[in-house]
Amino acid sequence: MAVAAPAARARETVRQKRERDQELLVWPDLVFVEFICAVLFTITFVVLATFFDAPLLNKANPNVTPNPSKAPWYFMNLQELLLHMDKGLAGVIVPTILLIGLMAIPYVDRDNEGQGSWFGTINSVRITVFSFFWSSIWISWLILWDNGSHVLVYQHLPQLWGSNTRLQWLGDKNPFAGWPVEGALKPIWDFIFLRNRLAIRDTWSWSLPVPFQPGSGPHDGRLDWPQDFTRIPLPLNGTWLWHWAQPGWMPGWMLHVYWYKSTFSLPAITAEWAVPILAMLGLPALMIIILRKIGWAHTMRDAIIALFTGFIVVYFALTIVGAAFRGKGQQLVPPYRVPNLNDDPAIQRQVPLSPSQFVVVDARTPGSGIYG
Amino acid sequence: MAMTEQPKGPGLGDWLYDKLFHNYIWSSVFRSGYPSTPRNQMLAIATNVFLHLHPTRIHKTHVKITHTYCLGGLSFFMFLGLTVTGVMLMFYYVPDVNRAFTDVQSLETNVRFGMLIRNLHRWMAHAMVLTVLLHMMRVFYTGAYKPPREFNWVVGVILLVLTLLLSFTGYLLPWDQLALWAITVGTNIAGAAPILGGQSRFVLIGGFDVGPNALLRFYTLHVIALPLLAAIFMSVHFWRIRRDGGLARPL
Ligand code: HEM
Repeated sequence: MAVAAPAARARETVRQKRERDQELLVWPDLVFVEFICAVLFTITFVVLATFFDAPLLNKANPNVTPNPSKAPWYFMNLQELLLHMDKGLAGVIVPTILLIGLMAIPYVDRDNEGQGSWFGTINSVRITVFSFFWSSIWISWLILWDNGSHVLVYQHLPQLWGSNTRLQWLGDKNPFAGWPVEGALKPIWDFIFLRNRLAIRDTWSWSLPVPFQPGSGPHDGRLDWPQDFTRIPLPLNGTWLWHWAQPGWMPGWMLHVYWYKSTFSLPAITAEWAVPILAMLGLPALMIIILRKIGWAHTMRDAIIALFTGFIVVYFALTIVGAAFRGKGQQLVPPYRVPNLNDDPAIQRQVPLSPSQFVVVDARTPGSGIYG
Repeated sequence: MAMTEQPKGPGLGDWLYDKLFHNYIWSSVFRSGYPSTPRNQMLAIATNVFLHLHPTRIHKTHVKITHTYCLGGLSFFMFLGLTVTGVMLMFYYVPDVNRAFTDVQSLETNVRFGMLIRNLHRWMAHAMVLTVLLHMMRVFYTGAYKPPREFNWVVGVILLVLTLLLSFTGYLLPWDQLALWAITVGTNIAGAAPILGGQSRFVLIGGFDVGPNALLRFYTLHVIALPLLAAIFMSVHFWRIRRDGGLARPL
């Protein structure tokens, strides 16, 4: 019986009943709407294509790299994501999981409630609005924070009241100087006022006295972040008969998957994997917890609406930032400072050549053109 | 004076209509005249190869524009429009690094309406990505993926991926700076996969850099493989809509 249960459950799916008295004939009621739609569509695009030309820059040249180089707009969100985490995570793992997640939606949310009408369940509109603001605010904050913008804003605060002095960033100060527990408090202070994500790997530092030397750094009797954490052996490392050399009998392809000499860097993994993953899982989870606490979200559909809305917001937000706010070297700049590739003489849009620069074949006058 | 309704004699319009639509050739193409009775209207849908993807009758809520905003239909129109303009572009375009760019250039300047065709193709391609995304949003917010439509949602996601890939492969073909570097950036993203990244990028562009092999591969995918797949999945998508009892409706 246990085996038959899922099938039985699937068959329970309530099918909508036909309401024959509510039905219209497809001809003319639908076919005509489609026809009008097709006509409008055609007119719109012919007009659009008459007035706006598709771009054509200079011929492809592998030696001249435009700065910035950008992916097509619908992949600019991925390109933007690459700036904020490990490349493999942003470019492949996250999109794969998202696609699988999208496909899984109907298998997770199987209740028929609210099906077939816009925002059919009771709290769906407010959940959507909430998720819209939650996601927009967080995604903006994360991009700005990763860019260190909060530091710049703080430093330039005095300009608000007309002064030209710059404040020193809190993270660069040491309020505990000379305290007996300075070594313990300063790292916490620094962590709170980190400049951005990569600072965890590059500038954050602390040091603990230890009786032994576990890390890869100098054997100085102290455990130091980050030096001592950059070459932690993986479990497989050196395990092949406790030899650290390449297992010679292995075919090359196997060596690729057998990490006999691999180490990992905890500071890099923290900055490139852990923090981004924490943000990507934690913030949506927090949103759902809040929605449940304030009593808006009860069902799976509610949770999925919040998540899907967040996905759409982040998808478009990253696209917009990638397209309109990334200038040379993918620096975060206001849109008017994003270089226009058409102004770059190396990339410049081709001025359409005048017909005289081409060989004109005129079929009507024999002997003209290339046959002439 | 008793007024009796006299049937009017046939006017010029009637004569023209009769000549146009009641002749031997016309009726060899369209077996019956304008379907004016419900029965004939249903037959018009059911017996026409292009229309028979439709059901013959449809619930009245689904005719309202604000239910679907025609977004799925528009995506499909884009696909058709792209096929037509794409075939035209193929007449003038050779996927060879020495020719591709000049082919596009002379298409713009030397071919009558060439620029228009290229513009149409380009803008429809962008618009299709957008309408497919919006269509997905409308399906989501109307809760139309719920049982029994789970699988059609999955087919939809596959169509979304195919649409993105179609657009992406087409991006390289003009072989200008925009194309080369966008595809370089895009395929670098694929190359970032943890274990097989380098290999999959190599297979995708047929080498280490975006060059002649990449152009040929993208072209082949763009004009044959992906459109074929998309057409197949679209047929499944449309057929499933009918098998699942038309569009979703509140129970
Ligand atoms: C090339 C892409 C696509 C085309 C041409 C297409 C076409 C269509 C059309 C014509 C309809 C009829 C209703 C309407 O117009 O809204 C429809 C319905 C539907 N589509 Fe798509 N679609 C595409 C992509 C997608 C995507 C990306 C999804 C979701 C991820 C999706 C999921 C669905 C579902 C579940 C229905 C049934 C809706 C209902 O019952 O109300 N489709 N599609």
